[in-house]
Amino acid sequence: MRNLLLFLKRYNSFFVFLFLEILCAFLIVKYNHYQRTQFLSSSGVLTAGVLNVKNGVTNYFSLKQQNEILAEQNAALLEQIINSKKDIPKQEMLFIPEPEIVTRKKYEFIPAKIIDKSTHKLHNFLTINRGSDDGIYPQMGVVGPRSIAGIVHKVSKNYATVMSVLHKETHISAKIKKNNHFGSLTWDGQNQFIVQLNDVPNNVPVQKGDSIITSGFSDFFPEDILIGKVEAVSRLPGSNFHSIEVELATVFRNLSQVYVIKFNDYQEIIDLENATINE
Amino acid sequence: MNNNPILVNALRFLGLLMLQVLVLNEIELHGFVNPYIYPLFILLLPFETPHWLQLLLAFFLGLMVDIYANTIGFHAAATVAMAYIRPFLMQMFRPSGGYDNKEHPVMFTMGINWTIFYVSSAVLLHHVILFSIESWSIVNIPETLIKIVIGVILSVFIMMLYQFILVPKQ
Repeated sequence: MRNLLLFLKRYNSFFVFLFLEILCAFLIVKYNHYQRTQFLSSSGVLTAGVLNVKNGVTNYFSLKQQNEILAEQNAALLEQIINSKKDIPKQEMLFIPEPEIVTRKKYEFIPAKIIDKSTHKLHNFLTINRGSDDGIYPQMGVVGPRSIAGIVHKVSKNYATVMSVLHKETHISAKIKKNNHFGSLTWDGQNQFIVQLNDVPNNVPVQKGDSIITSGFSDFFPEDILIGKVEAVSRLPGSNFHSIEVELATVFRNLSQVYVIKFNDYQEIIDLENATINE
Repeated sequence: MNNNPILVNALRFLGLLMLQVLVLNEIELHGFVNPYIYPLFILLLPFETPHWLQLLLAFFLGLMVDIYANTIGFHAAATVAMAYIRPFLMQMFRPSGGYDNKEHPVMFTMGINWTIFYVSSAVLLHHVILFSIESWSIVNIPETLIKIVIGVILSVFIMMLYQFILVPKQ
């Protein structure tokens, strides 16, 4: 026994080292590998306060650029309003729809500000300054001024973390605009400007420069939101599918203002699907 | 190091942590690598610091950086390993006169050559462990190696710069 104690005393630092590294290994597996970031994550109370203050300062540096992006988006929206008015024939304008139909919006956009983000890891997250108090819940889609940004992951009272498109586990249902063929969008973790569109069969014509948009099949995003443009198409030997590289329209490095999409029928659809499965 | 070493080191702990989290974590060169300066806190601890204390400090420092970077455990594991080999590095780079009547392994007392060898070998180990954990697979080894090399060069450069500017000369 005495020898054992002497042994422990002699190599005490080695045992402290061993203990701490095992603790680290445990933490890494628990909090990172399966992306279970609920505890100690940046939506935590401890860090969100500091990050918020930091954001209050750093916001000013990119104001000019953000203004330009928002102005660009405003212009596009104005264009849409004007064009849609012209499309409606005069006699139909006289028909007054029931108030129920007018006030019921299928999608609502909740503006949010990014207070923290990463772009250079394999699993990238954004932290936004809206939480459950603002009606955010997990699995909501998040879009930037130019295109999609990610999917809400965890929500605390005033903050939420968003699984960025640049996250290896993110899958988004997408389609090619010109011929409506569907595919699944993933990221291989290499280049923060390029994502991959999978599951598009070889016989579908795809060219460089084709627009990729959301399909509307998932509950996260409405149909027809721009994702990006085809950057390169190649065919893997022995595969029946195209290998398509898509250049994202969202530049994550200077993304700061986003909108969380509230899908008002979400709960109804989920309940219906659950009822069907449990039948 | 004019006055109380505990106070000086506590301030350095906070200062380097904030510098890392608020400034350096924002530098993403080509979305590729971050320079890291916080391990310098462990490297600058006085010679006489008990080894177990170095390890504990390394763990907490790493964990703080992890909490802000959303990578629980990555930095803690790398920093603890670095703190563990620190005495062996000092043994390895032992100058002919030993470390007699020197208290701090800073550039001013130890000379620039010694500091570069000491800092870069410690940082190399730190980055190898950090980036290996981050990639978490053996698929993209070449990319990880490039990240490590560029990361080490950047981090060592910044740490030396810090010592030139901010470590007082007695």
